[in-house]
Amino acid sequence: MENLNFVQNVLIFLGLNAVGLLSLNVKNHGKYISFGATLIAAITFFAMLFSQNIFTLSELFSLEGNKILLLKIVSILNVFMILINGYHSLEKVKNSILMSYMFMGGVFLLGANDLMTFYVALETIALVGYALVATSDLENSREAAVKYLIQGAVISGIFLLGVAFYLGATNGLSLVGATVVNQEFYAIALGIFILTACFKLGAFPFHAWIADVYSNVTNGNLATNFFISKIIIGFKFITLLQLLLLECDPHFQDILIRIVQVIAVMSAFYGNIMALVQGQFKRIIAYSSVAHTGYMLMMICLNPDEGYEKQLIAYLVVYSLTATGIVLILNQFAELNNKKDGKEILRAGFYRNKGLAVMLVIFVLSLAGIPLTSGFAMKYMLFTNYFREGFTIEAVSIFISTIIGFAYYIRFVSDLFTEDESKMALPAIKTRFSESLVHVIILVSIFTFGIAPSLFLGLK
Amino acid sequence: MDQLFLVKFLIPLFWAIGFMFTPERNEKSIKLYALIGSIVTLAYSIKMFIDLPDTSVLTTLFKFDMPLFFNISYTFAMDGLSGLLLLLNAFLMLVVVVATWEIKTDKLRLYYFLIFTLTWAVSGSLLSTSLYGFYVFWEVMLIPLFILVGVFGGENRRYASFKFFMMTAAGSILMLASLCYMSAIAFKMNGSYDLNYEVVRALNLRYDGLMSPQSLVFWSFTIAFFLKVPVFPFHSWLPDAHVEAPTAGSIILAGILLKLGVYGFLRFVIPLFPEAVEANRDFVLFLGATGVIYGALTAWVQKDIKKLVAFSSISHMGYIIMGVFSQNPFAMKGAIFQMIAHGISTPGLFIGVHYLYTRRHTKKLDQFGGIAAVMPRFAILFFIITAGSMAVPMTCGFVGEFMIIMGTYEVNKVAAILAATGIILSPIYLLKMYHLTALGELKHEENKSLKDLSLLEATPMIVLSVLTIVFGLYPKAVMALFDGTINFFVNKG
Repeated sequence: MENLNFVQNVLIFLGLNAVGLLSLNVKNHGKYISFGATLIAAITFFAMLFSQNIFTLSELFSLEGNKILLLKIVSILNVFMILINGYHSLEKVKNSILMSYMFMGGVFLLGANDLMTFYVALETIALVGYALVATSDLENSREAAVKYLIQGAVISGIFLLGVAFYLGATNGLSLVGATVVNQEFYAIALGIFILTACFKLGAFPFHAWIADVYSNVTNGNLATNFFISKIIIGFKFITLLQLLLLECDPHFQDILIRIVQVIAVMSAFYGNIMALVQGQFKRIIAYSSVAHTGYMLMMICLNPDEGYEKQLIAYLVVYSLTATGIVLILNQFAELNNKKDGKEILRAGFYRNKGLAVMLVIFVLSLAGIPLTSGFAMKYMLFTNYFREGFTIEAVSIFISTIIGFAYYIRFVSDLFTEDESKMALPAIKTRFSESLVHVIILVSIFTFGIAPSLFLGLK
Repeated sequence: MDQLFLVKFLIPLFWAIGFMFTPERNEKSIKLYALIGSIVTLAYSIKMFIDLPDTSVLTTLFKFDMPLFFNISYTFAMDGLSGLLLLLNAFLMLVVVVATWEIKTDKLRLYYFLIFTLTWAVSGSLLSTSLYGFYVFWEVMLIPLFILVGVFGGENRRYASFKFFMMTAAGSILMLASLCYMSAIAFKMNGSYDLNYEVVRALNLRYDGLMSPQSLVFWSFTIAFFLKVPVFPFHSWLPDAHVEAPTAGSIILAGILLKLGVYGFLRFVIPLFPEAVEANRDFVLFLGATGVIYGALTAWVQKDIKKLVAFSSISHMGYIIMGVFSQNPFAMKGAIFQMIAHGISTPGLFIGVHYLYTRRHTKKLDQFGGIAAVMPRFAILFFIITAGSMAVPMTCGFVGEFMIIMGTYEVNKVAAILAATGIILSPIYLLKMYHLTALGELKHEENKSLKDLSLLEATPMIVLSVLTIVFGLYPKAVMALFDGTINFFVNKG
């Protein structure tokens, strides 16, 4: 009965989105029908998640515990994104449908208990991701999409190689309860999975796509990338690798953990240093995300624990929300600069729209980890865990890298308050209702997570 | 526990938020609102101090558990030391409001908002006895000062504010790393991340050399506080920040913010990491002595008055660090007294520079000279404050420096003798400053028409001059307030 309910809902979700897709061709009212169908699908699916605590289809797929919690969060964000995209523009309605397919890919990725389901779900997310970049209609969107696609395709191929090694190591593709018969193959497979995770999350040295993609996608599409792609892929890969590493031979386990540590620390330093020398603000955020991936990636080295899973969810959600908020505001500033991100777009921002500037300051300070904001609470929690598990040198190294982070985050604040006559003469920046709504939601989340992180997700 | 504490504590913050609702174009009402706010803040600070039952022990004012923030408990407490600095903080805010009453800016609300937020954050740091709470306010105070310098500062304000922020934030990150480390150990021991005094002591961090846990934690805190004080060679942000900061920024920075670094040593480092303090005592004493000499010599060659005062701060703060680390009760008492004395004299000097700058729009020493003839009131008040800063007997500056040198001599003779050279050097550069501004002939035509101080302008300088003399003649008035606290620091908690 439980399984049937889930299958029904998935079919309804896909069906409604198919209707939405087809309706795009209907003249005049097509976009309204599409919007309605997509929204109903998203809301129905969201409601379904509250009906049960566990969804099992077969050995290949199950959703339970923290996965359901994560899905609820992403699901509500999905509904919000559809609402914010609205029904006025055909382009945005189309993006909402694409987003829904990405979301469904995320659902299957999260519940995947075998590598085939995992791979198909991952590719679904990736394909929609390429499409979202390509359809962003900014100056270099297509170039960025092609780069992303080619690099993604190579990584997919490598991932399949890892799947083959895994098959050889365990005589199956199941991710749960597999018996390792060949430790060498198993270690190689895990190494490849770590590499894939690094690419998908944008860790050094597999980050080449990230700056282009970030600076060449529209707000909505970037938010989708954050909310669905980064949150779900990050969570799934990290928790999965934690589990898989347990079965690894101690010698290989040490090597793999060392590799993860090196990548994490390098990402933190590289991301922060590169962000420091960027001219465009969106690229700064892109490289800062490389650094944040480094902070987060270290979690692979921790033992599987339900508490850590919740912390990871909190970190991913808070980071994604804040980064999206920043990009959203940057785009608002860029609109008066012929939609181009530039070195000086934030100059005198405080005098052109005080509310927007203050929001941006708070968002940026949160990413920098200033107390009373969610960024600080998450950083405090994450690093305390690393110390607790004995990764002192790695944690201290990453801490030191965050000092560099201050230098570029504070540039945002400095620019906003700089009095620049030419910029002050520009018209005041107007904010639409939907944009204000997003800002307020992010602001509330920053302070509630910052002051009372344990209120949500049972963080301890 | 004071049930109304939270309301009183949050007054400056609420007042700061209130500036958003003041009429933008009505300058007078904004200034009046600021004046009332600063008087209210000073009044409740005095009341809190008077209500303190015993200044020698930390009295808990308010404690609350934060089950929603990793189960950490939060304690606000006060003793003679924190109470005295709290008073200084509130007093300096009032001084800032009065001294910069004539400020001309179209961003007046932002200006006062930043000053009030800064004062609130400083109060929070002074009253927090849990390490976490201290850190929160320590970090929060960086932002308003950064914006204050960055928006209202001089020509190179961007550079100066950036440098100040980066250097102090770098220190903060080191401190945060130690907090996370200790939290992790505390969690293993008690199942809680809480880091209050008792918990940190119970951690019993091992000390057996430079790389031992206590030593590493000690150095991370010490570097953070060295950067704030600032102690030579961590001082490079201070002259830039002072030169570029608006007068309000300079007053608050020199008057109270620098003291927070010393306060951090007294409140946390000395009681919590005693073996590391003992092991590194001589090294820090020599750093302090070097700072005294370096600051004095560099001040001597300055051509910009504000820069000269900034370097004199580095020299004076060197004494204070020596007094604190000497672990000698006499020197330590002198160090705390010197914190107050420096908090009176240096803001006074900055106010003097502000009045000169608003009249002549320059801070270059060679642009002045002989102004005592046209600004006698200014010349007298500026002299008294300068005398206080150069530690002339019977002024507040003398008492602290004398006690520090005497006390340190018992612990480390060489460091004390080196620091004593500062007593010779400080009159050299400060008298040079005074001579080049107030004495001699009126060389520049523009100076002949300078207006003397109005009563409003003179008020803060009069108050500071009176305090300079009163505390110099009767230092016991101040020392009695923190006398008992000394045992706590000397006996390492």
